[in-house]
Amino acid sequence: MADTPVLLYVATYDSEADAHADYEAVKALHAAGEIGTYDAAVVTKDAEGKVAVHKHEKPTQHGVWTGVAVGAVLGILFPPSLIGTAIVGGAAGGLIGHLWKGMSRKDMKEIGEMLDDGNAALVVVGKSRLEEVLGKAVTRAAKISEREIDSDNKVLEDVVENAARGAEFEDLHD
Amino acid sequence: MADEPVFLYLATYESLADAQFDYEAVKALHKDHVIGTYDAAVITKDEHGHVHVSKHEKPTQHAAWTGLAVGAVIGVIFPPSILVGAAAGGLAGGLIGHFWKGMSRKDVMELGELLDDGEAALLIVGESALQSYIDKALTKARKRATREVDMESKVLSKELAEAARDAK
Repeated sequence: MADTPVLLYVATYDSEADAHADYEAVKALHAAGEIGTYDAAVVTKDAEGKVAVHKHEKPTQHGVWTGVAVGAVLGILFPPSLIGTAIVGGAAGGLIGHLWKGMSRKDMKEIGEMLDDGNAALVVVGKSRLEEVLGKAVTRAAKISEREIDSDNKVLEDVVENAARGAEFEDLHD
Repeated sequence: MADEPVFLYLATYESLADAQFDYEAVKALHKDHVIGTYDAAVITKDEHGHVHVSKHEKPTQHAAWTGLAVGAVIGVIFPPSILVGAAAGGLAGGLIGHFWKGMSRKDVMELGELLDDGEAALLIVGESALQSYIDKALTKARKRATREVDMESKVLSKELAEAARDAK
């Protein structure tokens, strides 16, 4: 097991509006320094079952909330043909394999079934246990689950920062 | 449920040689028209944990035994970065989606756990209930599992025929 495992927090919702409202509440906790997170994003499905990650934030120096880590988690739970282009970026490719090795197939099944059932979801990839603190912010969810990913925090941090740097470079050249 | 569903038969082995031995036995059944199969291939893992699908046959008019259908099933069970060769081929992309829709997450978990444990595996994708014939033919297998995929056999035939045309 990793010394400081990565935590995956998933909440599912009956409506996309509820997921976005809770996302804003989680963002406020993050801004106040109450939770350590690598990434958080709202996930939705369209009529054809295609999965999309909504990126709300612009990448920062610290690679926070770029959608890359959440995208990598979805890359484990859904086949490539159901995942939007934002997720299948080069940065997410290696990260998918890394996180995949740290999750049990039972966790993949259970989190996948949760996402299949809900209309929208809020997915948070965190540095430490989130459930207790997020209980204050996540008030509209139909179902909530937290799982431990046996992944090295340092590796995830590097990948997310690299992804952010890549995105900044793209922004400069737009 | 599909009217004529596709069947999966998975067997795991303690050695690659055992898997290849049973592969030849299944091939003989297929050749003698005892069983109708779309695909059969041996699956192995390397020291990096990458999954390989061995393609033994050249693509034919009917795209039988090209490794594509097995590759698509493996593409449902493992993420792309773990796959090498036939399993990672672009042709299998649409096919992966078909298999994914026809399999429950429980089946994916159970077949995945079986593959994780074995050193090598033989995966057979067939058009009818294969179990009784294959059970007799596979003499070296350590563990076995069969699953029905909620996908019409006709759809798979069509997809594989298109893939074979593209490959030519």
